[in-house]
Amino acid sequence: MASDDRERLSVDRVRSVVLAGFYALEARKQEVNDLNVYPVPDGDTGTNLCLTVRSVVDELRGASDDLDPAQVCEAIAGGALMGARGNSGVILSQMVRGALEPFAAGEPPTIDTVVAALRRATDTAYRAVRKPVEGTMLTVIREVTEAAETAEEGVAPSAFIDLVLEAGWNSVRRTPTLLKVLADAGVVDAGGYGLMVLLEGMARGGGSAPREEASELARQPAAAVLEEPESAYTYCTSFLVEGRALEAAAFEEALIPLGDSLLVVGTESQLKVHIHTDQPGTVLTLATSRGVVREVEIDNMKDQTAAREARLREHTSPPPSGRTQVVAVVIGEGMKRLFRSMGAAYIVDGGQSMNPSAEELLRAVEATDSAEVILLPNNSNIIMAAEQAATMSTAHVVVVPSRSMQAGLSAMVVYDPESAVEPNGRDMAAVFESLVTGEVTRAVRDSRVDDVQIREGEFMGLVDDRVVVSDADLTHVVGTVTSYLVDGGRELLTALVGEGADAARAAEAVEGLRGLYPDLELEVHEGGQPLYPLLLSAE
Amino acid sequence: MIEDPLDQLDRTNTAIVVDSCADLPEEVRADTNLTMVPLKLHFGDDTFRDWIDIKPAEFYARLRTAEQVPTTSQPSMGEFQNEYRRLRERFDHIFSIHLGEKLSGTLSSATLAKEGFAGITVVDSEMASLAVGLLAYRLLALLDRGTTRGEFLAYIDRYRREAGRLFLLDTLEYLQKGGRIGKASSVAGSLLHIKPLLTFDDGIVDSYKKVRGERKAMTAMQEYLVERTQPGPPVRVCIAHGAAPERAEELATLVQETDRTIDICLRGEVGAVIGTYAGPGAVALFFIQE
Repeated sequence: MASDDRERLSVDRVRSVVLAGFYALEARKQEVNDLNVYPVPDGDTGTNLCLTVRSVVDELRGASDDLDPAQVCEAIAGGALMGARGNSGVILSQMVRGALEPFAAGEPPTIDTVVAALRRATDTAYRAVRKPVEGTMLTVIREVTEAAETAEEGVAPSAFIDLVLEAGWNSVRRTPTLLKVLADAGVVDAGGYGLMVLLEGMARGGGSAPREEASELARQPAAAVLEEPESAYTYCTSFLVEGRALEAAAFEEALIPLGDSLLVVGTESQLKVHIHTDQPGTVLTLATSRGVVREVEIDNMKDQTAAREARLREHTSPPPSGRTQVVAVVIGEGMKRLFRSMGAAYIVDGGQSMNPSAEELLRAVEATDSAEVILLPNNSNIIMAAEQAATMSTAHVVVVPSRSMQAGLSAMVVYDPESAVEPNGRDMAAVFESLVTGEVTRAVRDSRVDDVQIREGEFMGLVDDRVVVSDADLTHVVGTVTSYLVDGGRELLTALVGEGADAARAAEAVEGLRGLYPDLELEVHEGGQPLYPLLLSAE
Repeated sequence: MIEDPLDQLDRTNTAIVVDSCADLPEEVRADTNLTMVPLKLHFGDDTFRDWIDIKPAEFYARLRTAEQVPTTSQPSMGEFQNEYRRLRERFDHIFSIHLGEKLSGTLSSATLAKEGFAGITVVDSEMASLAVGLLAYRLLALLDRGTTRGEFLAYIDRYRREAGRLFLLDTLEYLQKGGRIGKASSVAGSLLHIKPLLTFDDGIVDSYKKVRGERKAMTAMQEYLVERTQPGPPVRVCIAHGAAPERAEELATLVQETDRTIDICLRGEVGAVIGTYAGPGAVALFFIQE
């Protein structure tokens, strides 16, 4: 192999590979979301992975073309760390960080380097998780790595890619045998699945391109996505076209004048189209002339950005005085009022179906302008991003691992702004030991979880994240959850009423419990949270 | 007259002066060795002498319907001088024990008033209400058996250091409006019903612990006593309340359920002036182990 072919990483090449992965993931985001285990409306693993990769894309977009390999790697790792959302996003960002190490040293993108990168990715990801769980994306990256390590010396790059991807998909298929919740729900692990979509996209350029030589891995473009993905255009538009004898290349030609970030991939019978454009209508008209259009998604990208900036502005209130400040992730107007009333300096919008990125959390921490900050993630899926933000901040940040907003509120009770962050963190976390939380929500699909049969549209009651009841009768569900919560002599029940008609009925059901438990102290507050008519805690 | 630690003190030669914020009940105030100087309460244009013109029952009833929170004022220097003059005719030694200096100007009135008198010792209790009342009550017991000035002052010192002092307010609203919230301000304004357990620390109101729920608060008070005492020697306990007799009763039961040698020697109500800051529903636990 001539040394000229063993070129080092350039921004240009890396950008192509990352974009290919991103578009593959973007195209199949909903598939990944749908693999969500719990039938509660929080299926956003696909979204979180996409947004994490998106942050890398953005970082590379701004990168100058003459960066050296170490700088390129730094840009990618930084993008992943900042963009990491949800536990799957955080784990992915750690994989990315590990995988970049061999490349940062200037190694050419050969099979050996890729194998080394996979090994580093696996080790880094496992280390990042306190208690690694098998049957998740951790297992998948590990088995991908193990397969890669068995590749014979001098294997053809295309054979290597086949080997690795096959091992990965097999690993995804096996996840339900390793994790009971997956088997119960009849799904494979969403994070592992998403990881393979991403890897396959990167290796094969969005799924439609011919397999490339592995030595070309870093140069490998998905032909259609060489352009800059970011744009002056407003609408991110994606859809499927189904028909006969569809021609990707010809359709692509037709779309080029209408926008950028263009991707047309697929087969003769089905094409996936992604474009940033100001004329989504024209795009769709062109598409309908070729076949049947399905799964149309049109997002106003500028709205999204503007909305987030507005949110950040809204929540930058002058920080209260005191030594230690609190940043809390909260959703629902009533919940925000409650957290503010107890001294939270900064509220980050987010929760179950909207996980803030590590960067958003970091910015909130910086916005407190305090050297000591408590971070309350208030959701089990945000804890890792919070921990990531903590390590990135120059402030002394302690993550109090609240798994729910109710837990976060209880922790706020003992928060003392005048004390240092460490004792605050200890006291606040200690509250969780005697706290039990409950949730009532609507099932979004049929399922069987924790040995409870669930039908779409029913109300599900959860106690400490475990499903205990599912029934069409809301009052019955509220009563059952409460009976679990007050078991063992707990004396104080806090009920946080969500938004919407279900919530109003749930509030009535809670009031009805006063007669049943005369000794119980019951506090009912307007939480205003979406998706959960009722959040409960008992202590 | 030279104040000597070996001075013998007893009921024949020693008097104790308190202000009305010691919240001592009528039967203790009837003690001939004890004199109470009242602070004043102002409801609009109406002025009342604390514990004399206005008793707790009337005060809390009025507080509930009052459009404005009442204000309070310390006794004048002259009022203290009149009492000191009268008492000095009968007693050699006068100990004037008052509400903490950081909480009220009462102590400075007393300090100014004692100028020109011999035999008067003014003491900053660094506390309020029956925390001061219990101290005065125990000092009367010392006079019963006879003591020395040295022992008397040492008891006061130990009381200031060691006495248990914990109170639970229904709301921090009154403490905040009255500007006496001290370091407890961080729990004010919460929309959740947090029960702040408060204490006196370094002469000001401080938050001891925040809990949610009435029963938890009561249990925390019981635990507070157990943590600060040992089995064996008697624990002299005072339980006070402001328009919350059931809570006081419950607290008394909880305290007696401990394995400590409990002597509830004093029970009382929070009077009008302290009640202006504590609000209705307060319950307090004060104690000292012998």
